[in-house]
Amino acid sequence: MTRIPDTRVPPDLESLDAALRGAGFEPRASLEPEIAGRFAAGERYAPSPRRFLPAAARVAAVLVLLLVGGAVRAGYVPALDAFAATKVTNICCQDLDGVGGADDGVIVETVAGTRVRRLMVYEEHDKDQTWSSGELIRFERPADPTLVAPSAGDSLVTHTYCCGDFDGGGLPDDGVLVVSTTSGRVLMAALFDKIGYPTNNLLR
Amino acid sequence: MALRDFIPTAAAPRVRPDQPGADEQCRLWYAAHGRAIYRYLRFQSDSADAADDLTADVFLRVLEAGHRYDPARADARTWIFGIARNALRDHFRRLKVRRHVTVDALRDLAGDAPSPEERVLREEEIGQLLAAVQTLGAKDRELIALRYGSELPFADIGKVLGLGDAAVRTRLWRALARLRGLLTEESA
Repeated sequence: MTRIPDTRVPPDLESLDAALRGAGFEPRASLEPEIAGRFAAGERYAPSPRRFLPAAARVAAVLVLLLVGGAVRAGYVPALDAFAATKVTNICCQDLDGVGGADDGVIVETVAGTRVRRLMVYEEHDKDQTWSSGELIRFERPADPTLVAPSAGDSLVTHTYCCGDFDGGGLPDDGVLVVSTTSGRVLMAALFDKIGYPTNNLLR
Repeated sequence: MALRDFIPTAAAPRVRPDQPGADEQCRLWYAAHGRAIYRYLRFQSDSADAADDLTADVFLRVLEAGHRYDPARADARTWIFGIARNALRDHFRRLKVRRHVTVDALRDLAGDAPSPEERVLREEEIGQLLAAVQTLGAKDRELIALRYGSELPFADIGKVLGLGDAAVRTRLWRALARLRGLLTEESA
């Protein structure tokens, strides 16, 4: 049975093409009057109800994934920290408290190369230029920068050390800011970005 | 009245069931496209009964929506195949899970065989072929249905699917190659 005009069928598909051409079907003769009768009786095409909820749920899931992906990449959502890459950087040794020379180190744990999760200032005692157990911890804080209340009469001194890639973001654009008393008690420590500091920048 | 005289050149008035001429419109639409639509649907549904139901759905919708048909946007065949594609999608959504292989009685298989035995053999062969088509992906299945079911020329398949002539050919040959692979696997 050859009903389709000949076309350039690839030689290796010719037999299958011929077999398919032979698969002709004919609707039963009563179908057309039956349709006309159903229409005349007022019957209408009834599409199945669209599944709006699953479709909406799929869209929502995609949006959530996009948001989560973006948030994790940017490191802006603390609740998502568990899924993001973290980095611990040891910055040693500088004079960050105004006492004892360049014997202070900072250990900072960052999330996704941006957000500070923990920060610690220590005093490097054993002269190995890095953190060792037994070093004196001068200051420790969680994610948000906090200022320990100074005692009455304390004078405050600000120390900065800039710049390096302290947050693991890949650019040497981070600095360390430490606020201490003149006696060397550390009241606050944070990272800052070189760009925009100090007028247009938040401490981290 | 020739069919081309009937196909509206502008939006046609809505056909009401009680309106005189509804029967005639149904007859003309069906005479022009019924066989092609049935065969398109038959190649993609698992039984002659399902193809009957789907064809009826398509033509009920054509009669209902005929007044919205705009010949400036698409020819009548492309328009009606668009309706058939939607009806088929709707059908699969209703089914939720597609049957993968179905060989039911091919009561609608065209052509006479010289003997009942040969008819049985032919039904078996076509049944296996159709069952293999059913296991292809939706796009392959649709291409084969348009080409071998509805017997549309490549240019018309391109209009229905929004593809160029060459793309239709290339995709059809690929679909056939996949079908041949399936049949080879089955026979091995």
